[in-house]
This record gives sequence, C-alpha cells and structure tokens, in this order.
Amino acid sequence: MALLSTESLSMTFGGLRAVSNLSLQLEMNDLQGLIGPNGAGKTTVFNMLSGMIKPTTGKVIFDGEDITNLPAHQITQRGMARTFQNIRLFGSLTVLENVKIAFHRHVTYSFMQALLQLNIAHHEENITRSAMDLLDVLGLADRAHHQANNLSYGEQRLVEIARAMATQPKLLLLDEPAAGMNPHETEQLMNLIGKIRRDFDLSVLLIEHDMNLVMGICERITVLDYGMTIAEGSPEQVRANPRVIEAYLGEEVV
Amino acid sequence: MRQELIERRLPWLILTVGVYLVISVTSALGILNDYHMINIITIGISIILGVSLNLINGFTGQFSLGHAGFMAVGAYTGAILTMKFGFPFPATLLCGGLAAAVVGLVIGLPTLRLRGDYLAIATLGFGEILRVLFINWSYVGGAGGMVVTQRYTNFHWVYAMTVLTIIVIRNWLQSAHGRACVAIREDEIAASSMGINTTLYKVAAFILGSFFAGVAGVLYAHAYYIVTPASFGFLKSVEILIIVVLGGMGSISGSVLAAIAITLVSVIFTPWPYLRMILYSLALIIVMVYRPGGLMGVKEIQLPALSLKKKEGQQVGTP
Repeated sequence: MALLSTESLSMTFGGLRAVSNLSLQLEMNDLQGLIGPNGAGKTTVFNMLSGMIKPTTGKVIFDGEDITNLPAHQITQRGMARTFQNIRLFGSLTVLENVKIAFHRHVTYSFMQALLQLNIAHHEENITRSAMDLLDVLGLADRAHHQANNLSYGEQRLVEIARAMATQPKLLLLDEPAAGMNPHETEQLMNLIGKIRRDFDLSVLLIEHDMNLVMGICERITVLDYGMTIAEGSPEQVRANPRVIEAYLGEEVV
Repeated sequence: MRQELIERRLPWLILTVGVYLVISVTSALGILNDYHMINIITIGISIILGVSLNLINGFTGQFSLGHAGFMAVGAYTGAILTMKFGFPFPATLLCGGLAAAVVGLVIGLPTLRLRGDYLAIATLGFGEILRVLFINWSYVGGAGGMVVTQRYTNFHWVYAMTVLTIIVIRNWLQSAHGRACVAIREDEIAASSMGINTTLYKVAAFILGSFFAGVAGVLYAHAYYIVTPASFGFLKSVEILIIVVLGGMGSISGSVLAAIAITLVSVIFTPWPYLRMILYSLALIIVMVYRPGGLMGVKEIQLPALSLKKKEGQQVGTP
C-alpha cells in the first residue's frame, strides 16, 4: 500500500487553477521529486498535503487514512513533516530551541505539571538530548546556541530540516532545500538527504529547482506544468520526455 | 543536576525573602508609612497585571487590549463574594481568578481560532461592554461603584500573589508548553507544522493571563475600598500595555522593572499633575527611541549562581 496517495487533487484560487487533477503515489521509503517551472503549482501541492490549505476538490490519503480535511498540526502528528521554501524558522530563538519546539509531539506532561514544574526535569533533559543528537546528525551541533536568524542561508535550511526531523516523520516534504546554497553545500545536502532517509527509515518528497540534485538522488520524478502532471517516471524517462524538455528543461539538461 | 538547579535558584530565593523581610521590618518599625505601603501594594498589583499581559502579548504574540476588563471581572467577583456572601479572602482570590479565566475562555475561543488582529478588536469591545454592563447593574452599585469595607489586601497577600504569578508564568514558559506559545509568536504557520495545536495554546495562554488579571482585580478591590466601572476602562488597559512594552515584550523581569518604574514616576510627580503627564510621555518616548525593544528586550535578569560546595581558595557565596 502506498504511504501517500492523492486522488484528483485540485486547487483553484479565484479563476486560477493552480493544481488540477493531481494523482501522486509515494511508496514507503521512496525518494521522489516534484519539479516544474516557476508557478507550476509545486508549493501549492505541499500546502495541500500538509494541511496549510484545503484542496478545492480531491483527497489526500496518508498511511491509509483520509487526511484531506485535517488541520496542519494533526497531519504532523500523524507523521508528515515539511520544510518551507521561504524559510520559516523561529528567528529570535536559538537553533536548539527551534528543534526542541519541534519535539512537541512527544511531550507527555500536562499543563498542570508545567505550571508547577512537577516531574518535568527528566522529560526536558530527554528533549534537549534528542535535539542535540539531531543537530549532531545534521552537523549543526556547534550552532546549537546561536540565534537562528544569524545563521547563513544554507545553515538555516538545515535547521528547517532538523526541525522537521524532530517531529519524527514517516514522510518528509522538502520544499527547495538547496535554494540559496552553493554547489559544495548542495552536494553535502544530497548526501545528507540520502543518509537521513536510510538512517531514519523515512520517505522523502522533494521540490527542487537544482536539476543536479533532483536527477542525482530521486528515484522517481513527477513533473508539473501549469498545475498539471505532464510526466512521471525515473530520471531517465523524465529527461527523455519531449514535453518536459519543452516545458521546463530546455537545453539545460540533454 | 539537582545541585545545579538549587544553586541557580538560591540567589532568587534570597532576593525574594530579602525584599519581603526588608519591607516587612521597615514597615513594622514605622520607617515606611501607610502612604508608602499603599504604593508598594500598587506596584505589586501592577507587576501581576504586567507579567500576565506579557504572557499573552509578549510571549504568545496575541495582541490583547482588554486586560483591565479581566481585572474588572476579578474585582467585581471579589467584591460580591466578600460583601454579599462573606467568603474568606483566599477563596475570593481563587474565585476572582477563575471567573476572569472563564470569561477569558469565552472571549478567547472564538477569536483566537483566527489568525490576525481579531483579538485586539474583540478585547477592545469586551472592555467597553463590561464597563457599560457594570454601570447599569444596580446590584453592584451602578456607576457609583461598589464599596468594599473589608480591607483584606495587605502587603503580605500582594507580595505572595506577585511571587506566585511570576513563578507560575515562568514555569510555564520554561516548559514545552510555554515553548509552543513562543513558537506561535515567532511564526504561527511554522508552529502548526511542528504539530502544535495553535488555537489550544493561544487560548491556554490567554486564560492563564486572564486568571492572574482576575487575581490582581481581587487584590485591587480589597485595597482601595471601592470598585467603580470607571477604574477599569480602556485607559487602564493601555496603562498595563505600556508596562509590557516599556519593560520588553517577552521579558518577565522587564515587566517587573517597568511596573516599579512607572508606579514610582507617577507617585513622585503626583504634586504636579500636568508636569507628570508630560514627563511620563517624555520618558516613554525616550525609552522607545533608545531601546525600541523595551528596557529588557526579550532578555531576563540573570543572577549569578551560588556555589554551595566549598573548594580550596573559594569562598561560599561568591559568584
């Protein structure tokens, strides 16, 4: 059974059909890419999947459950996490605090316990330790006590990934994770995405403009243009598809 | 770990007990007279109001303009329970807080589901509705107000409630639940995608803040003999807001300092009422120009940890 599938998912903003009749299939442990020219509707797809906006029509099935009308936080609690194209860190907090907040799903103590600070010390220690471990994996341990706003663009994107990982997802949605990174950082990111997928046993759906990144690591690619799926398949198939070349890749990838 | 915690908290404990003892003793010796004491009580009430509003406005990022309204709910509840039902004071304090919290839930639930400035509009209207309601309610004395003959509020109660407010709100903010509130202030969309039920946490912070505003109201009612609708108008809400902004949105110690400073400024300049308002405004402008984030910004006052272990060449008590 597919981990994530959408059935004729559509989104209209006024008269604009941002996404029409999208049918995505994502298996357990897949690493799938979602590409397309600017304005093709990629981020809108992510917003629908993660519950930020409600689709006009269609359904999202995640892990065997219809999550179409669930609020965003409940979708996260069911194991889908995302990053944002326009970075949305908790800017004035430290990197460590950013990640600790994302462990919210695993906080078991009550409001009363928090108000009276009753038996929460070991919970808090566990959260801090888990957050540090995660920062270690992403190579951000030495940045733990820096204010998130003061990090470089590339590092901020890594914190976004760390934060998404902290919710312990089955499916990770990455919205242009390499935007603003230099080629060296992009290469490291490719390795990192491969590594966390293996180590944490999760599936990844990736939006990206960087062709090297997408072609390099994705096993399956879906291409959107004007909200419609124009191609689907392995990188080789997509690369060879004349409609894709016409719509998007042009002469860049031959 | 435990040892470290104690060492970190000991200076605060000493400070808290110290201030209490100094004020109690000087008051008992007659160095501080009744006039001083009522001003100290005013400072305490202002601190409770400032810190509790800071939880809503500064830490959770929800702009409330009706904190005096919740104070009014507490004050009137307290006055009614004392005068009509003869409740003991501790029960009155609790009931005043709970009444304000319930009203907070009623106001907060519909408005905090939405993103944006709806809370500001709703709380602004709420304050006015409440004022008109009390003016026309003869059971509580209408526009003339309600007389409270029992002057239960003394320095000890105010001090205890002030410390309780600070500790409870600080505890909340240091927990994962408090972090969720701060996350909402920083970026509500990102917070919800971290699995945080943003409505729940906004309402929780609002209720908690309202509860302490209610407690402050009960203290107020039993300190000044009379509660009138006019004492809890829009201007009072603004006054509390100024404490929060001046001290720093997101700093408990900032609110404490600002509450003390503002009360002292208005006490010192009482003999010159016109000059007082000019200086008051001037002081605010100067602070906003030179410290736009408020006196403390989002930082807290840190006291050096006391070392309990005696080491060679190191004295106990030195930081």
